Formats: sequence, C-alpha cells, structure tokens
Amino acid sequence: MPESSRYVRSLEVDSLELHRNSAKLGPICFTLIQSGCWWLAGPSGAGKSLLLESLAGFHAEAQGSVRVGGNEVASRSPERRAISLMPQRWRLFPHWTVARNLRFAASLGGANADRIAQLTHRLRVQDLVNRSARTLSGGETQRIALIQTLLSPARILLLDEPLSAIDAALQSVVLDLLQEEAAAQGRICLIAVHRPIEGVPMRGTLHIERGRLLPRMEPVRAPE
Amino acid sequence: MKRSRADRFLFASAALLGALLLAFLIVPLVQLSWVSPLAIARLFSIPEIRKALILTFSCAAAASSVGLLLAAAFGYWLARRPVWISRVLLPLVDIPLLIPHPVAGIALLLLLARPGILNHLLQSLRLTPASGSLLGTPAAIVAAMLFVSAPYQAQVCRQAFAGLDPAYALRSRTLGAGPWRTLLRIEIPLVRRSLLGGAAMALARSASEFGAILVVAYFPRTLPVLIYEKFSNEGLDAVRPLAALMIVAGLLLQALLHGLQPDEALDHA
Repeated sequence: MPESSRYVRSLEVDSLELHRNSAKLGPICFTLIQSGCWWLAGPSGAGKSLLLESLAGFHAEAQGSVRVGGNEVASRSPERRAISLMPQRWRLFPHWTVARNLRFAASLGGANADRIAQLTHRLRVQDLVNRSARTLSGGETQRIALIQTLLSPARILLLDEPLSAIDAALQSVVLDLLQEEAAAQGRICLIAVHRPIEGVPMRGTLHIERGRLLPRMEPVRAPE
Repeated sequence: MKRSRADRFLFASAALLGALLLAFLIVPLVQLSWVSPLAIARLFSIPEIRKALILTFSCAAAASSVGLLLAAAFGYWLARRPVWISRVLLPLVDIPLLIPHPVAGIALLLLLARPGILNHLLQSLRLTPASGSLLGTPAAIVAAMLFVSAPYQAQVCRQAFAGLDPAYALRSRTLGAGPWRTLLRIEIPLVRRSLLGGAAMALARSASEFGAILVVAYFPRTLPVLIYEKFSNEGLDAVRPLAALMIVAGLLLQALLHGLQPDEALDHA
C-alpha cells in the first residue's frame, strides 16, 4: 500500500540539521503524535521555512531522522515522503488554468471533481477556475495553492505562512477548513506563522528561534 | 531624463553606425534576391530542384528533430549539475562551430566512412547500406547537419532549463508527482517555446549548411550544393532565383523563430 494512503498519525523528527550558505538549522527534535493542526511560530529569519523545506525533502544536504507514521523518510525524494509543503511564495503552474492546476493535484491524490468543487466552494474561489493561473492576485493564488495542497495524497501538510495574503474575514474559514481536514482525514498540519492567532484551538505550538526549537511547546490540547 | 547635446550626438553616432551594419547585411541579400516571383515559382517545376529542395528540408527537419531530443536531454542534465561542469562541457560542445565546416566534414568522414565506427556498429546490427558506406547517403547529410547545428540547440536547451524557476519542479514533487511526470507535464511545457525556437534555429542552420555536406555527400545534392554547382558552371544569373528561394525560406524560418521566442524575451526585445 502506498505510504500516503495509510492512516498516518505521527511525525517524529530527530537530530534534523542543515547548514546552507550562512543559515544553520538544528539540531531539531520533536514529535507530533496526533492528527490535527499545530503552529510553528517564530520571528522572521528564525528558520521556519528552512525547517519545513527540510522536512519536505527540498534540501539534499539535510541530515537527521524524519519518521512519518513510524517509517523513516529522510532519504526519500519529496513525492515519496507523504509530506506536502505549501511554500510561502507559491506560484501556480503558469501554463495552465486554475482548473487544470487543481486537476493535476487531484490526479496525484486520487481526488475527484466533487472534492475539487467542495474545496473551491468552501474557499470561495469557484468563480476563478476558468481563469489563467497567471492572472490571479496574491490572495487568490494562496487559496488555490492551499486547495492543491489539500488535494495532494500527503498526510502531513506543511503550510508556510498560508494566511499572509488572505484577508481577515477569510482567515477563520481557512483555519476551520484545515482543522476539519485534519480531523476527517487523519492529517497533521504544521502551520508556520510569525505569531499564533489567539483563540484558535490548535493542538499545540512549536516555537523556533535562530534555527532551534525552544523547549516550550504549549498549550497542547488533550486528544478528542 | 532630459537629453543634452552630447546625448543627441551619441545617439546619432550609434544610429549611423548601426544603419551602416544593417545596410551591409541586408543590401547584398536584397540585391541578390531581386528577381521576379515568377522566376522563383518556375523553380518548383524543375525536377532536379524540387528533389534538392525536398532533400534539404527533410534532412534539416530530421537533424533538428534528433538534435532537439539529444540537446534537450543534455541541457536538462547540464542545468541541474554544478556550474563548473557547464564551464567545462559547453566549450567542448561548441567546437564544431569554431572549426571550418569542411574540417567538420572531414572529421565526420572518420565516423561515416568505411571502416568507420558507425559503419562497424551498423555492420554488427546488419544494417549496412547497399553501398557499404554511409557516405553519399541522406544519413550522411543528416549527420553533417546535426554536427553543425546541435551546438546551438545544446546552448539554447541548457539556458532554457537553467532559467526555469526550480520552485515549479519542487511544487510538483511535493504535491506527489514523480520526476518523469514533473518533467513531461511541468518543466518541458514551461520551456517548450525556447526548445522549439532552438529547433527552428537548428533547422535554418542545417538547411544552409554547405561545407561539411560537400565532404560527406556531394551527391545527392542539397540546395546549397546545387547553388554552388550552378554558380560555378552557369554564372550568377542562373543562380539568382535559387538563391532568392533560400533567402525567402530563411525569412520564413526567422519569422517562425521570432514567434517561438518566450514572452519574456520579446518583452525585452
């Protein structure tokens, strides 16, 4: 059975390190053992993006252990990790329409047209599907990119500043959707932000500074 | 910016020298091709010329197609290797452009003539041509065209893949697509205009090749060989419609090449 279709409920990271140009990450150790959404919080330049990219397999030089559902994936290529990253500066595939961008992601994750329609309706982008991907604004692009990520087969979703271009009214819609997706599909969402948004019921928060996780990881909600 | 007198003088001087270059390049070609369109049309009724025309452009199309496949693979690989590898390999790939074309033809003789490496290979596969050698066959013409045009294609393909934002491939991979699907669905479509532009340039270069073809395949005659022969035997006037035909074909290919330029390149044009 492919890794991605298993009911993965854990992300275990041990001694993850990366030296890239002047940036240094780690050693990083943490374990997320329940499905749900987690913040990864830290100031600019703290290493949030570098950590997410390393987990997603973007940096061949990264050292250490990354286990998804108990399976070691650190030596695997990005598509074989069951981890999908939505980078901070996501540009859609510009040679396609929005609909084709979504169908591409859906074809990889085995999702059907109904699921695309459901997600586009939920994030209020159903009117954009026939537009060229080149013509979207930053906020529209970010919402389409989020849907692409949700359509992927991965069970661990890493979202780098997914709310940065989305207006305040829609932010709660996005966060609600992520919570529901995590609960319904047994996914773990790690959401990088400068500062956690107050009042959002997350599983917990990882704090990162200068490439290292801070020892505190609070609050953690009890499993439902 | 307000322009001073010195600015105006500088622009006028640059424009004058540019116009001189343009005139030097264009006037002889216009003069040569200043023939009646009927004279060009009549060429198509001469079997010898029709045959040469078909041979030239079919061989050029074959050379640019083979070149596209090989150069795209080479450019893709090179664009993903450290820059020092490009610095070492690209000058080597360019060598066929730097040597006189008859020398390129002589180099190909070693490959194509009996007992050349290629003939040995064909012999072992029981594919030896009836004449016993590839010399004087369309295959030799294609080889000569490929030899002098593939370096252009290799450069264009490497630049195309190197200029592609690697983030697109990473996004495709992190969504779950493997390397082949990413190459075929995302990367190649994103650089297709550059790749096809390189192929059009190779087609034009191949169709106009003379020196290397002369060595490996005087017969069957391609258009450039036929033009040279007619010019030697019958003089300038006999060759003008044929030369005009080549110039028109070159202009058409140039228009195609321009149409295939990536949008960004045209923006800066």
